Amino acid sequence: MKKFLGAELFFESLHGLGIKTIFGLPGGYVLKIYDVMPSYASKINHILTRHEQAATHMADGFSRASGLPGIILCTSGPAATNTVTGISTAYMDSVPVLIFTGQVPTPFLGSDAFQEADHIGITRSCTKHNTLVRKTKDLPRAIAEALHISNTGRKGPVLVDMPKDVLLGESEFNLPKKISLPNYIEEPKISKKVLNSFKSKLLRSKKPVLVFGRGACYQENLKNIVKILKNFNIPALTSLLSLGVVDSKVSFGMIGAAGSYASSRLIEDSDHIISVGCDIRKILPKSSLIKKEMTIVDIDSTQLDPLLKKNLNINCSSISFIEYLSKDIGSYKTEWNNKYLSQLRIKNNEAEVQEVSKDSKASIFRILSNLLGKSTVICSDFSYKDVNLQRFYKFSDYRNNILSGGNGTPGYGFPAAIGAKFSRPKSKVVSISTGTNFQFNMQEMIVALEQKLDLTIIVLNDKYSNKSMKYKGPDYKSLAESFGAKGYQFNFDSKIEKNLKKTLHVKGLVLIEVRI
Amino acid sequence: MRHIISILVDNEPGVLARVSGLFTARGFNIESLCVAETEKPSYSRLTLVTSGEDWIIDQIIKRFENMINVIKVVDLTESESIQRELLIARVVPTKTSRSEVLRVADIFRSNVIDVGPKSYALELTGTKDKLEAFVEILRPLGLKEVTRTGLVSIAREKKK
Repeated sequence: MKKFLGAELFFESLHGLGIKTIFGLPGGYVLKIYDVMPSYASKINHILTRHEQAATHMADGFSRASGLPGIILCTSGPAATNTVTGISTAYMDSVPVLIFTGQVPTPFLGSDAFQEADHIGITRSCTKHNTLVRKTKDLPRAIAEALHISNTGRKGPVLVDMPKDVLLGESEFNLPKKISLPNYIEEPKISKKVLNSFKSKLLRSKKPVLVFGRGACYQENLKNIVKILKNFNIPALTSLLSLGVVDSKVSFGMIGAAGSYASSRLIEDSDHIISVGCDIRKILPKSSLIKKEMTIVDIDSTQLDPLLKKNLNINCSSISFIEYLSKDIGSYKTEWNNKYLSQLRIKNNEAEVQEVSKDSKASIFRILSNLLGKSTVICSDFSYKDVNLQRFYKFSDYRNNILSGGNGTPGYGFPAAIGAKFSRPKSKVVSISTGTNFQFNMQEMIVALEQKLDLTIIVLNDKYSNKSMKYKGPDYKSLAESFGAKGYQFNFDSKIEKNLKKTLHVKGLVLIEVRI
Repeated sequence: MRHIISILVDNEPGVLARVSGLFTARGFNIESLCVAETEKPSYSRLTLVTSGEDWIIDQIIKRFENMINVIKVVDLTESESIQRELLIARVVPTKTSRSEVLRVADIFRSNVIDVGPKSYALELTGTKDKLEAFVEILRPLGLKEVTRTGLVSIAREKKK
């Protein structure tokens, strides 16, 4: 059999597993991979980034926008430690991301060699799994296993550490066809008994409400969810990260402190909360849940509630649960009054309008929502202003709402937008962040320009509302122009809608600063 | 409450750190820990004693079950399992207490595993209480050093 270098095995394995795009930066211990890269250029597209954190966010955005796993390649030491923020972001929101790091040759492990860091130790608590490959022949199996672990069950980041001598060694190429991990439970089995007790609990309840979290965000679920909502006449709510899994016209908005008016009314009036793939206990205050009958469905048994014994805990994937709901319940109608529900919707809209009139700056998100339409991918950071974005922007696809939820990473939005553009090149992608957040990863404009991407960056410069602040931040228009992008600058006034309309669909990399 | 957790894991580098890391992440103390190969050389058994609220221990056990390197986790309660621990003690007796040390060893069914002109090394297996009693009795007789393995435990056969 033909022998391959470890570095070649890396590409052969990725190609064999159907990977087409990787994000990364070269460095000492992975140079062999970059040496052999030209001969794989037709199979695997490598995107050269300017910072490893941004590379991880790109892979993360790539994955969230499409559902495919995101891949990162970088060297050891400083590169690997730079990825930690990105890995943590992916871990918190269960995004399948694979991180390949270079490492010092195995004989030098643990000797404080140049650019050495203990990647396995550092990332142990922020990855689903991580592994150090010790022999060249083990590399294909390790990569296949890592992808399998990352992309099944409760998804999450997996790190593979590859010492230099492993990449330089030679071995035959054997990619396992079937992954056998005896200790790994891909999907917990759902017992008939639990389902039966759920069924009787559901049939008993008069006003149940469904809450979908990010765990329910799968393409397979969409049709069934529509069917359930229609058949049972049951109102649906979402969390911050799953906005759009139910169309914004059907859903009653998101739950939580920044949630909609309707969500708090519905939670209060309901007699049975069914939470699917949502960490509802952390989002809602204990006081509003303590007296409620609840059913918590989660693929991760650690997310189930051990304290509330009277609630029903179902440990299974959202896909099989939602399929069960849509097929096996039979005829069941809730006793929600349709008049009440439609009135609630009207009141909800009124409350939104009222809020916008109180905080006039929030209206920018309504304007953007109207201008950009349904198919636009919105990537944002997590801040007070950006949660307003999620409140007022109307999402109809969860893959269009990309933000770092659990980790709340500043500077996530822009690199994620670049990643999203690679996985969905035909969609319009817009990154919306405040000036401070944008600055975290603004160097990645180079990547967008190098790759000739059509991307729109909206920077909300909030320094202008604060008179005591003398320094108003950089001049974003000239900043963008110095990189080679197009820059625009607008004040937040009555002409903003007209100005945005003119500039939002300009081709190429466009930065629009809005001074609010 | 005190919990004895028995964990079957892959016999690989880094697994112990992974397991103990879960305890440090929650600020829990591990009272004793014992790891060794099992009847299958590819597996190790880890016996761990800790104290904490039941529901937190429950969460930790679920996290163990989700780990790729963990094969099986059992929370052994004290009544339904047998526990043993091994102790080795070095005693430097005075001229008068030399025979007394041997008598005590005899009472506890402890073996002398090393003898020198000045000292004895004694070995004893038993439950935690027995070992502690042994140490207390040896203390005035010239006890110098004690080393213990930590608890190992196995479930009792289920009564029909």
